[in-house]
Order: sequence, then structure tokens, then C-alpha cells
Amino acid sequence: MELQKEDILKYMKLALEQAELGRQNKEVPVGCVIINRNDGKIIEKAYNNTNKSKNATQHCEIICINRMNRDLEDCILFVTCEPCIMCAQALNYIKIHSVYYGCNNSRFGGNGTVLQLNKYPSFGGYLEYDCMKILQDFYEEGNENIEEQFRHRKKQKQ
Amino acid sequence: MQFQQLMPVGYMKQPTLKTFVIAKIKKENTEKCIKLYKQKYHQYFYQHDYLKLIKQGQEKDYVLMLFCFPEDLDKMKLDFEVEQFFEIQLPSIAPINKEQKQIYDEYWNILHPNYEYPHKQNKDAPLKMQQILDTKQTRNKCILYNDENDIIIEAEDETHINNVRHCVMVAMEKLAEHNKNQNNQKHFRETQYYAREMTLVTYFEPCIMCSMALIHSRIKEVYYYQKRVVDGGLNDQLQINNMKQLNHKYLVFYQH
Repeated sequence: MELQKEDILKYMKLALEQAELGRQNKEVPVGCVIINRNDGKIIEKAYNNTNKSKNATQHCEIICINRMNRDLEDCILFVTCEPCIMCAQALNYIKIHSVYYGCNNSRFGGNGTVLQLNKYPSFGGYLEYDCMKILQDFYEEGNENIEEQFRHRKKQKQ
Repeated sequence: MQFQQLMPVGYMKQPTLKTFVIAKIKKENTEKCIKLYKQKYHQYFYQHDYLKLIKQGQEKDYVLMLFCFPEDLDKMKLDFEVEQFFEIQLPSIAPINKEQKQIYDEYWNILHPNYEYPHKQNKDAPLKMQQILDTKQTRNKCILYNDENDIIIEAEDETHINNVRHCVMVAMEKLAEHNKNQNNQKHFRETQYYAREMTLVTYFEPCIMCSMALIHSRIKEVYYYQKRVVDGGLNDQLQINNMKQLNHKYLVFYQH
């Protein structure tokens, strides 16, 4: 199946829905969708689960990989934020076909921002504004799971 | 068993030097010059942000200001009222501990390093490493423990399930299960992030994925016995534990 631009945007919107679900559960709003390359069917979707599981490695990509337990040579990943260094290398190990992502990850990006690890083709900048906005909104409120003194929050203007 | 510490690239006692141009300014003009300089070129020395901008000169009425690299002097000198320019040699890499900062201070005013590398090693690490070596298993194994020894977690590679379940990832899952348990929540509440103040001992060097997972978990120290051939994250070529852009650093010790 050839991916058209409308298809990519459709799947990115599904990933954004997952991110919104994550925000409702007080998680960092990043979500992903994995589809089959041949027929376009959705196989797996997830959002970050680091706070609820108390495990900092439970990013949405890792959750999907652990649920599927197989190599993903015939699969395409859509994720709202660029995979971090850990996830980029994990996607190398399971031999994913290709990756589409929304906004760049200036802190930990492993697909070219901080390090260039990906051996698979990866394309960025789809629905960049929406993906960035949902993260900004989350961090402006402050992460409610962290105690007041440890929060990184913008100081309010007086 | 003695471990060697993994130090940042370019670590040595005597710094490598680079040529900078310095401006000699009258003391009255100092504030004006700094303001103008920061307006125009505030990101110019972003790679050398450990150097302070101003130093008191040997003569009383004059102040020395870090100005530019020699190749840009003709472009940049036009707008400033400067008595004299001259070239000096300054360290080209940031200092990493107090002793090194004292050596650097003879050259120029240096900002205090924000992360230090103590030479102290964990007492229990050689014992735990011997414990791993004694098991004689083909799979990679790791032990995660804290200073009081009330949490000890052992884990093995589970790559037969999928390629991502390296022993570090499995250990993090086990730690999460431990923290979720109501009776053991004391440790979690105190330290907030999931493996803070804990030490990891492993046979093979953690790969890039595992070393990043350890940064996400805010670990304190890592000990390993043997280097990886490919994809190692904590060796001389790629030091994920010392990267400037990331938000956490940890100490690494190795055997060979």
C-alpha cells in the first residue's frame, strides 16, 4: 500500500487522540499508533504510562513493543513526538519498517535532534503545531504527579 | 577487584589551549561595553560558556574583556571603544572538578563546574560483580541495589520474548513492581524518581537503549565488566552518561 498524505494525517490524528487520553490520565501527552504496511489495518495503539506504572521506561513505543512481542518488519509507526534516544534504538532492534512523527524532541530526540541513531527511514513535521500545543499545555499546568518543589513550571506574569 | 572510572572526553590535568582575542578597556566604560557586547553577540561564546567575560587587569584602571576569535577581529572591532587588543591562550574544554578548576584559574576566571566526578567507589560493587561472575550463565545478568541494601533486584536478559527485553529494562520493570507494592512505598516517596541513589552492576556494558533508560530512571552509579563490540553506550567513543544536552549524569566504572 502506498501512503498518501491524507492517510498519514489520518493516522497522526489517531495518535493525537491517544495523546489526549494520556493527558486525561495525568500522563505526559505522547501517543502512538502502529499499522500494518500492506493493508493499513491498525494493530496497536498506546500512550505514555510512566507515572501510573512508576517505571520511567514505559514510553508508548516500548509499551507497544512489549504487547506485540515480535519483529515489526511489516509495520509503520506514527507517533506525536520524535522518539527519544532509548526508543529510537529499541525501534532499531525490532527492525521497524518506517516512522512518521509530529514535533521534534529538542531534549532527548534520537532521530536527528540530539543523536542520529535511526537505521530506518523517519519523517517528521506532520501536524507539528497540534503535537507541540498539547505538550505545551500540559507543562504550563505543571505535572501534577510531581511535588510542588520539583515542578518545572513557567513563572506566572504579574 | 579494581574498577577504572570512565572520564569525559579530553580529560587531562593540563588543558589543551586555544587562541582568543582580549580587549583592554577603561574601567569607566565597562558596563557600557558589556551591554553593547551582549546585545550584539550574546551567543558568540556558547561553546565556551565556562569562561567568564570580564577579568581585572594588572593595572588598576583597566579591565580585560573576552572579545572574539582571531579570525573575526576585523569585523567586530568597529563599534567598541577599546584601548588595545591582544591575543592570549585559554583552555578550550570546560573543567570537570575542583582540582582542575584551580589549574584553569591561572589562565582566566572560570565558572564553577556544575557536576563533579568524585573518585569514591561503592564498597559492595566488587562483591556483587563476583556474584555475577560465579553464576556462569550465558545470558547477560545485572544486579540493582541501594546503599542500605534493603532493595536488591536481580534480572537476566529475556531476548527470547522480544529483542528489547535486555536485562536493564527487565530490572526497571521489577523495580516498578517493588515500588507499587504498598508496603515498600517508603523508598519511592522519599526519592520521587524511580531509581535515584541506586547502583547497577552488570556483566556486559549497557547498550545505547539501556544507558538512556538509566538516565530516564535517574540512576547514580554503573559498574560493568566487559565492553560491547557494537551499540555500546558507555565507552570512550559515545558517553551517554556525560552528554551535555541530557538532563542527568551518572558515574561509570569498568574493568577492561
